[in-house]
Amino acid sequence: MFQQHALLPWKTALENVIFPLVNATKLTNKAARDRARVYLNKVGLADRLDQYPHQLSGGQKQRVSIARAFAMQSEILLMDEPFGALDALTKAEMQDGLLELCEQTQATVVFITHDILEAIKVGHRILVLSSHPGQVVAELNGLPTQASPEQRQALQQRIETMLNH
Amino acid sequence: MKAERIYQRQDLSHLANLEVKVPLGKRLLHSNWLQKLIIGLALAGTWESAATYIHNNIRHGNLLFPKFSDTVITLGQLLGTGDFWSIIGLTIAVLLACFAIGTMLAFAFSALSITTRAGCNFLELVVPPMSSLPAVALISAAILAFKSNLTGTVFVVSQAVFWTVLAAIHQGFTQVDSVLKQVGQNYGLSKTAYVFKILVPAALGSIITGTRLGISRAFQAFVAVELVLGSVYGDGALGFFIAQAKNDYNPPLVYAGLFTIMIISFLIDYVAFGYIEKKTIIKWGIKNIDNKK
Repeated sequence: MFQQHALLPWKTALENVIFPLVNATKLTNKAARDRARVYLNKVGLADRLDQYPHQLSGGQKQRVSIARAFAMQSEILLMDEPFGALDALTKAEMQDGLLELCEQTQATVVFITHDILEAIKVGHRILVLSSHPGQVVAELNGLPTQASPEQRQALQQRIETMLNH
Repeated sequence: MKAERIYQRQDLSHLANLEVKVPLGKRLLHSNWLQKLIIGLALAGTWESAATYIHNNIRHGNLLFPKFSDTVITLGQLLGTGDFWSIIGLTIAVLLACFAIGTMLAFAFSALSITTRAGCNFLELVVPPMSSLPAVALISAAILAFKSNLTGTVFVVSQAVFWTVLAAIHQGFTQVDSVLKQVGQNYGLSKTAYVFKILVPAALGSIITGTRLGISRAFQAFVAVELVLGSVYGDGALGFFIAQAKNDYNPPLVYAGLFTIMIISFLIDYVAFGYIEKKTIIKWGIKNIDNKK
């Protein structure tokens, strides 16, 4: 998954999810269509299937993008700052949706972000990278979903100190 | 669930009658089609009175420039004859044939150029000089080579389309958003699938602009060839028609021929291409429709 939604503007939401399924996974058209519907349903876009990307909001586009990534049913998904361009509210919503999808599909997601809070919220295992040279500074356990705000804050401060070091 | 209300509603009733009734006269004055109609009538009126002045005050003035009314009447009469329709038919047939040849070759070459390095270098070397050569400059060379008006014309007109469309497609392909290209590569598309499923739709804006320019250049070249060489085939097409009308000292006929060319161009450019744009790039939100002031 890319930083930008990277949807094909000449295809509808549904067609955008179908496209890689038919071209990269040799699924039949019918099977691809059914699976695409399922995943667009999961990201809450069941009523937006036939809209073109320019008719969708930024968050909706990124949701189509998530559906497209998960519909591939790969064991590992690589996401490069997928929510970087979204507003705070949409971002939080998307993070919840992502966690839900991860739980359902049991896929491994490598998620790159500059947002420490985001890393704490979505990560089960957090690798902190330094810049110049980009090396792993620390490997931390993520927090359980029911962790208290204090625990989150403590972890955030810990990571911030590592980065400022 | 009942919404919590903290906000104190203000009395906004004084805003209720902000809606302004625009009088009919003013609305008509600002409507685009009416403005166009008035401008059109003014142009026709200017033409008519200028021509009348010339006819009345200059010796043989009626051989210099026709009246608007005479031109329109002549055009109407022409459209009632089968001969004129076969001239129009030949014009469109040659035009479309050349357009098809030029465009298909251009597609083949640009697909090669985007998928192979040598093809790309070939284009970068050959396209700039060839597309800057006016098509009509090749008329003499074409006649030397083909010794036939029809083959020579088809060659000159097709190559005008070919270079124009080739340059546009190549430019469109190279300007495709790199993220979209990565998407195509990510899914492991074959080279053909990559060209047709990613590059062509992504570059469609440039491709449409290019083919539009291509067909207008083709028309230019076609008319010029017939003015220089004479009939392309049989009784000739519109270029030859105009040349003959000039030789017969018949200005209304010359201008009726020009009108016909304009109408055909308009139908191709605005109606046909406009329809294609509406069904593709406008629908996909790639091309924005500008609002008029």
